Amino acid sequence: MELSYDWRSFHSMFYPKRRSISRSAPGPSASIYAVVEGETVLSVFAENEDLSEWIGSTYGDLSKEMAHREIVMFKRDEVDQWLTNSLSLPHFYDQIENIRRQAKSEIVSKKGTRKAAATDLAVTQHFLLEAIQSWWGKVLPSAYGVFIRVEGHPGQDFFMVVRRGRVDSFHEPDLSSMGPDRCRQSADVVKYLSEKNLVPVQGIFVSAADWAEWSETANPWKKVAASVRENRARLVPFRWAPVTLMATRAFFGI
Amino acid sequence: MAGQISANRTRTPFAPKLDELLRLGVTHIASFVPWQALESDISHTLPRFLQAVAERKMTLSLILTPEVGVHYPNSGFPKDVISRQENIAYHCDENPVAVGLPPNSFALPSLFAPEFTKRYYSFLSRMDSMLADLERSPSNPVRGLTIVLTGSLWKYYRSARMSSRYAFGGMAGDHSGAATLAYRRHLESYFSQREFMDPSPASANRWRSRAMEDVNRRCFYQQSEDVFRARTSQMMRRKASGLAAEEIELYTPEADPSATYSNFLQVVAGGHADFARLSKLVDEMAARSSLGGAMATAPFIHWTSLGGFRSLADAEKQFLILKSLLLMGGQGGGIFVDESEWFGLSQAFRSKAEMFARSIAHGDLRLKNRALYLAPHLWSRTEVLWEEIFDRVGAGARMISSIDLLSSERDASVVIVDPAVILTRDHVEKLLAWAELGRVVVVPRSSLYTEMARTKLEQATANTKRIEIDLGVTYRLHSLGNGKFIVYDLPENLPATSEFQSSWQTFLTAVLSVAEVQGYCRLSDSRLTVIPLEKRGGGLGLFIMNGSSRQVTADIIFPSEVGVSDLAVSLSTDSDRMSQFQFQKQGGDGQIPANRFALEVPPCGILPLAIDGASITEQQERSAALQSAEVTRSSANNAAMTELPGFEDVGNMSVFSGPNDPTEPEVEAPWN
Repeated sequence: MELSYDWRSFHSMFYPKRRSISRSAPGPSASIYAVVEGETVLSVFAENEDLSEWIGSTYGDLSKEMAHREIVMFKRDEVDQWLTNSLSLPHFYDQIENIRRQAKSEIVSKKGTRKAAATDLAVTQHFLLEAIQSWWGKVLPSAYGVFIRVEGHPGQDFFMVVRRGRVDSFHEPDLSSMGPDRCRQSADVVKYLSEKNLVPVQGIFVSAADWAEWSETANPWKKVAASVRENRARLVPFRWAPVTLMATRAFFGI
Repeated sequence: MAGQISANRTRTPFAPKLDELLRLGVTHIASFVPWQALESDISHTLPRFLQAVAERKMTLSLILTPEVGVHYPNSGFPKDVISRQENIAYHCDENPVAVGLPPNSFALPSLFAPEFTKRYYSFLSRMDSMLADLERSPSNPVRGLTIVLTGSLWKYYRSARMSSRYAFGGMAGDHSGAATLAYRRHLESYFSQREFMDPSPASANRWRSRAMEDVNRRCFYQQSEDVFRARTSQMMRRKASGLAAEEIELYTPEADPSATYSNFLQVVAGGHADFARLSKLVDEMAARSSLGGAMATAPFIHWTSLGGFRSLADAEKQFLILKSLLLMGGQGGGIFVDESEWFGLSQAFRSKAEMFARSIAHGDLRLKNRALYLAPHLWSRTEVLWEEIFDRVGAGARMISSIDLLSSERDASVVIVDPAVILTRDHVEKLLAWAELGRVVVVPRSSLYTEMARTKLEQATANTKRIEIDLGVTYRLHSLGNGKFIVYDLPENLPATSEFQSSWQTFLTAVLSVAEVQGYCRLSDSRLTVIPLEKRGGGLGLFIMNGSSRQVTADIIFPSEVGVSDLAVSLSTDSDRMSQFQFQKQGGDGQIPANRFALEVPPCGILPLAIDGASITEQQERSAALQSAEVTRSSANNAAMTELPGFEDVGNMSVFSGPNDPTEPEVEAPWN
């Protein structure tokens, strides 16, 4: 009865906790996002702002008042359709990625440029998830596993299976059958998971401090590469292919 | 101290986790039972978990009813059941009701779907048998177990569109095919009762007409929910009747349909959860009281570690936790919070929250109902009067949907009946009896009275002193026993003009004045709100809440002079707990009585004040006198029922039944 989609582990691994309320005032050009039905605003959002007073007002009034800012508007029936479509997907991460894709394509069709959509939906993804879903999918095996052991406080084990460039399942692996000694052997753990899930597994062993620092940085690949070179982070087994991919991302940004 | 863990964590042994919780001081755990997991593993995982808990002398609340926010695919609902279209619930906009919480968004099942209900009752039956077997076993691992039954999914059957502006703004309820069939059957059976066929059988057609659809649906959904609760309770009491059981109302704000579009925008924009909306949802939920058994259910809020709550800053989480603790705990309920979230908060906050929780649990602080609103359905929209009451009375306003809750109500001094409530003779009798005890009852003059109810009301008010008043809304005020009975006229059309709004406000001001429901205080800044809890032995615990992200400086104004001190100090001897909060009386120190004080409340801060003063004590004494009168009346009734043959108690109304016509009580004799 091991959970296939252990969201708590996924969340704590890829979404760092926010400790304090952001004091940064919203920029004058920060986008406003709204769901609209006809002329009525059903929901409106901008980071660090409470715009709830606009709910129920007309879109015309909102756009007039916020003329100096860009408003990204979605129609309610389209949003309903996207949300309904996403229900057939197996887990929440897939579902939100699907919703983002559809929202983005809608903006593209309105504005005609991919660049505009990228600006409007400036979602900061975790560096590892972003890489896995990028062109890496074309060069990596069609199915593989990633095991991450974050050492120190708070320590955490995390395992995910990626199939065709998409996160297929994720959980904190049950290593209880290995015994406490073998659990500490990185090569044994990776071998065990590989045999259990019938996919090649890449292990990443990293300190909690490094992982936290990487996760809070937009493009930490140079730091990742440096840590691997200095042996502060270990890849088990050491393979040249992932190292090359990391280096490409770190030094060429692709 | 209580925490929440999942019983489905088989990948990690229970023992280390439970030992860790014990070390942290947790002695009581609440856990959901994922239905899907237990269906296939009922004889292994749960008993092992119960055994592990019992061995550590911990106590456990096991939530058996299907709920949202459970860390299991589809929140634990069997996949094969919810994957069939005919088992899915549809809201009033004819779309599936989706819950957008990890580990996956899914469409909620219909509690009317025959396949679903058959499977659900079968699951309960197996649970009942298993717990009964464990109870009989020598080790009795269920000795510290409390079975918890909730209101389940009914409150989530709402359209995101209709509830985007007001959380409970639209028509709630399942509109699936199965629900519609059940509704048609309900219309046939419910309106076949004798009361609705009076004066002639054809009268029932009026009630079943298309024009009554809106009213009837609300009534149907409420009754269906009550029946679901009752059946669930019966199923779990067949064999495992020796176990402690509790009926609660559990609510997960993060899964509320009103947050659907807000959640969507955060997903596409990569933002954080809508703190203001979550806070508002807590207020809305705390204002609603459902029926479980014969009593009001204890309300609980569930803050998951799955949804938007997790993305909030610590200060926002603390605000929501403390607010929900005060509002729900003050009514006998509480909160469920994941242990990782709880222990992620600061030690100082946890100590403070635990201190208030202890005071509430010991009855030192209590949230009093001051005004009740009887609505046909708890989760559907209501008329303008409720919004006004909610605005004026705040945390003391309570919406109920069952007339039976009146008999156990001790604090409220007024009940206002929504114009969409179908009033039967039983309703009118109970309302009259409640008024006679010194309370104020406000009913609409509408077409939703049965003939028996109308006759009863006319008889009861015919020979009373009355005043007819027209302040925009016309109403008649009758003096009834020690109380007042107000019948107001409902305008033909309900225009949403400011003049119309103003008429209702004037009317409500008059009603609250008659019922002597006054605000404890006023705040000069609308960003601040207040939760008043009554202190045992007199005085108030006043929690001033600042839900904004800026510090607010404002004045608090009382109707008369009061003494203000630090609530934490007054509740415990640990005097330095609230040192970070500052308050000062204008022109002097905090010990001298005054009626105006200056406050500084930090962002997402809660300022706890102890208030003592003659006017507060006077209000509390009046309320105590009312309660005492009711106890006396109840005792006299009991004595009469024992001693006098033919004497019976109908709700709060004492009657003698004539032997020739047992269904028609001959005389109504208010027993004062």
